[in-house]
Amino acid sequence: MENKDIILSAKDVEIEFSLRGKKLKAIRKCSLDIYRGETLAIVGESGSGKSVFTKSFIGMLDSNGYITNGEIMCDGRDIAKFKTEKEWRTLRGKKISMVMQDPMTSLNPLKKIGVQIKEAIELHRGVKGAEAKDIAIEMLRKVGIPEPERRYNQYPHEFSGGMRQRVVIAIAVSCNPEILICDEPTTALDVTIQAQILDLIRKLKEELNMTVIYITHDLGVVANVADRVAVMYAGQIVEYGLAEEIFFDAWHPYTWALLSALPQLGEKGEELEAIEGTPPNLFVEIKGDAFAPRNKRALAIDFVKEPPFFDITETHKAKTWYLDPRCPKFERPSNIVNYREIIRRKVY
Amino acid sequence: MENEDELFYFVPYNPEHAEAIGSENYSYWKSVFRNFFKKKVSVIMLGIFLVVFIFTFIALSMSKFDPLNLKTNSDLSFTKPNQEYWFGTDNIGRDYWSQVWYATRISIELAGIVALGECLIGITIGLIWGYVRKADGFFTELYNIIYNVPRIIYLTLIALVVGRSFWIMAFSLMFFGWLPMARNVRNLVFMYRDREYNLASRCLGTPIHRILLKNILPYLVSVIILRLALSIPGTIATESTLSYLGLGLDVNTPSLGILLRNARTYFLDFPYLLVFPAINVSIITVAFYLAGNAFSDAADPKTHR
Amino acid sequence: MVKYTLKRLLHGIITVFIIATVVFLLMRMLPTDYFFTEEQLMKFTDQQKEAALNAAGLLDPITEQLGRFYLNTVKGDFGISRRLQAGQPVVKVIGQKVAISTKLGVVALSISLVLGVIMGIIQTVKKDKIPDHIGTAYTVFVNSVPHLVSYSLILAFGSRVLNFPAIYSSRSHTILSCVLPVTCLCLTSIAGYGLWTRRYMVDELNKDYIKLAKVKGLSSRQIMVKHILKNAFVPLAQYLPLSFLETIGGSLLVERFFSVPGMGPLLTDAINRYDLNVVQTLVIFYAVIGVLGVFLGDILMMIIDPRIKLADREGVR
Repeated sequence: MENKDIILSAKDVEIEFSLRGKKLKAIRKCSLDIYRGETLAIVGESGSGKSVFTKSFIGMLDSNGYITNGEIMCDGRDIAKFKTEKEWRTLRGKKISMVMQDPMTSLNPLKKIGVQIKEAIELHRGVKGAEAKDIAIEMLRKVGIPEPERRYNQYPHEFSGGMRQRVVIAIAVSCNPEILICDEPTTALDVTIQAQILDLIRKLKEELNMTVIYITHDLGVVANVADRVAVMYAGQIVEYGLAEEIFFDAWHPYTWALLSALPQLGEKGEELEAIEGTPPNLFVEIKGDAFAPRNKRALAIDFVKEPPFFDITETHKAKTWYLDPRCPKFERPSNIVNYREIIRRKVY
Repeated sequence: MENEDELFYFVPYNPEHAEAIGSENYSYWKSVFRNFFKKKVSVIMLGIFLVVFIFTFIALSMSKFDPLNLKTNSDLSFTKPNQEYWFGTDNIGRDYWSQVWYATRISIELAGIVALGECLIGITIGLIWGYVRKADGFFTELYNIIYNVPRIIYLTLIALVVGRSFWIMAFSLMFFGWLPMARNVRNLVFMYRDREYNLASRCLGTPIHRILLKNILPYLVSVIILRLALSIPGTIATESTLSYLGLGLDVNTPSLGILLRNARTYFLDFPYLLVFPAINVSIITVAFYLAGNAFSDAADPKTHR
Repeated sequence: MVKYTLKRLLHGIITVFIIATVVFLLMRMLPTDYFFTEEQLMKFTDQQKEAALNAAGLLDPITEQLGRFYLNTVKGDFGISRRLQAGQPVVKVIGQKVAISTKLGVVALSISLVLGVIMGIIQTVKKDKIPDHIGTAYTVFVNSVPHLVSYSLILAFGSRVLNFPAIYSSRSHTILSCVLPVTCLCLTSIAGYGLWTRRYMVDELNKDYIKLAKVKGLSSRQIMVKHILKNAFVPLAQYLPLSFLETIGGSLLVERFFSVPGMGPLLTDAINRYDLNVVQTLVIFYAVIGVLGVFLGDILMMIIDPRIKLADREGVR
């Protein structure tokens, strides 16, 4: 990352949901800089807040969710302070766009897919009618849909899941966004289709000079596409760094657990490693390191005080007491230390 | 934190700690009632319903007149409400208070009995209809036939052939009222019947009636209550309509329909003849409808957390 | 398409046939005393009664009567009215009434469709705000309070305060005298259309494609107009043909309440007076309307919803 142009910067963001009179703290003081032109992956298990965090960049939180603290700077404006739909619309589509998880439900079933793409183009590119239609057909071609002229006039139900996701991507990128958020774009698809979609997004990113944010729970996806990775647990980012650093030099015990749970890492005939226990209840205040109760080698201080971020390299930071000089000497799990070797042995 | 430095030592792993997610033990009915009582409006509505319900009995015993043996006295006709006749008198000088409250009680009783009957028949048939594949065609056809013949034909025929009385009416309403309940139950059973856990349960040899009662019925509670909430005001309305048309209760039983039918000619000049029964029945039906809807919401497992 | 249509029509005819038979048999359960007026009952000797019944063919074996009924129906001969309008062909008796009921019904339905859908839209746009609560209160009132009571209130208010005629009149001020009956008809159906419009729109509101439309940068108004309205109208449209056809049948309570000489009370009157031909014809008529309405609704759905492609959708709705 020689280019350090920050395109979006979140600082100390806190997000709360009110659920039946109770307050749920979904995001607790999250800070993250996103650089222009990078591909960033945010990983974590369900409920870790990865989706909520990124949705707040585009004002798509559910109606009972609020940013209660912090700022999100983009183009010199603090979008965490945005209240009205009008403010958000200066951003949506044009600056930031999004591909959602389930292609089966994210298209209007009663409108021709061409019309749905054209709608976005007319809104953002200042063209109308036939001209917009041409661009829409061009977009369809670009996302790899054969016979785009014919397909233009078809309805979503005439498309397969993978094809629909291509259409959704076409809609998302048709307004030339600078940032594209992909919220688990391949989770609902066949494994065989997943790679094609990831490839397509990579290709489009290069072509249109976008910044891509992946939200995923699949480290396999991350390894394939991401420049940088941020690991989230219980509403906080616990470790972030270049993809290499996260894979081969992880420090947070939760990152270890995630890496160890990758099936690719297991030995044939041995049990797969799973992360024991369950994520914490976000309705109650979390004390110390949220992962401590599930950590098999937690420190006493993990239960008392929240760790700060420690620098490992200039780009790699982790939020764990293990990095404190006062921490007693210990060996990281062998499979984490030898990750590179294990991967090499598996692949070659 | 002076001794923070001393906390840097490893602690043993405690698996129970790791599983502690802080969600309390879940009990279906407890959640239902907690959800219900959280909504002030619905509790108030339930309260109002109960108060009026109890008051119907008190009101009748307070009355100086026996509602079934009221004397006609043309000198007293259209007496405005006063100390002697609290709700005034009707066109032939009969006390209106005892008639109105008697009608209220009749309405509630009829609606309660019919609702209960509808539930029993509807749920039983709905469960069989939904669960036993072979029965589906038969019940669907039966449903279509009963449903497509205007109900008024059955009711008119019953009124003409069998007669007009409280119980005849209760049974005939029950007999045609189970249809929507059965259809609702059937559709839900259809949805849940082939869920994996039921297939698994069947593979283990669980008898069908047990699967229906233990695995499927709980899902239906919310829908059943919703139907009840609709059925009770519905029955009250049907009774009044039928009695108004002369197909319901016999003319000498004061019931809502009969009262309004008698009042139809006069209430433009003597509005109290309309106002008292209207207010009474409106309070009951609205209160029950709202409370029932709220309870149905509370009973829906999806709203539990 | 053709095969599907034929299959549906055949099934419809069978349904009508079964219903007609059931009603035919039910009517024969009535004691034959209903055949006579009270006066006749007193005067006639048993022989005279039997002769009269025999002449009407009512003492023939039930199968023979049924066969005659099928044959005449297929020939399109619905017989003559015996008591309601003695000697008139049934078709003519019904025809006069249909005109009145349909006129009132179509006017009321059109008004309520417009007002109901508008009400639903306003409620959705202002969800959980005061207009929504007002709409909900109205719906609750209409759905829970017996119609007889609300009609009475409309009558009292409309005729006392606004001076509209309290009963229908075909001789003078016909249009003015229709105001209150039409208001009563609208009262319930506005609530119905409002409720369903709101429900379907709120359903659509929470769907994923609305999120994508938002991400695109469409405003709430654009999303409402371009996406939600049409999608919410689709399930509503399915019942429109049936609703319009059903207006032909009139409303029993409203027509009786305002003395409208329409179709509504005809059936009960005919049963009361043992006017068998009228009853049977009416039942076939209603059954055809029911079957046809549902069928047309399905056809309409196929036209406006591209996902539905002439698949068999039988069974319970």
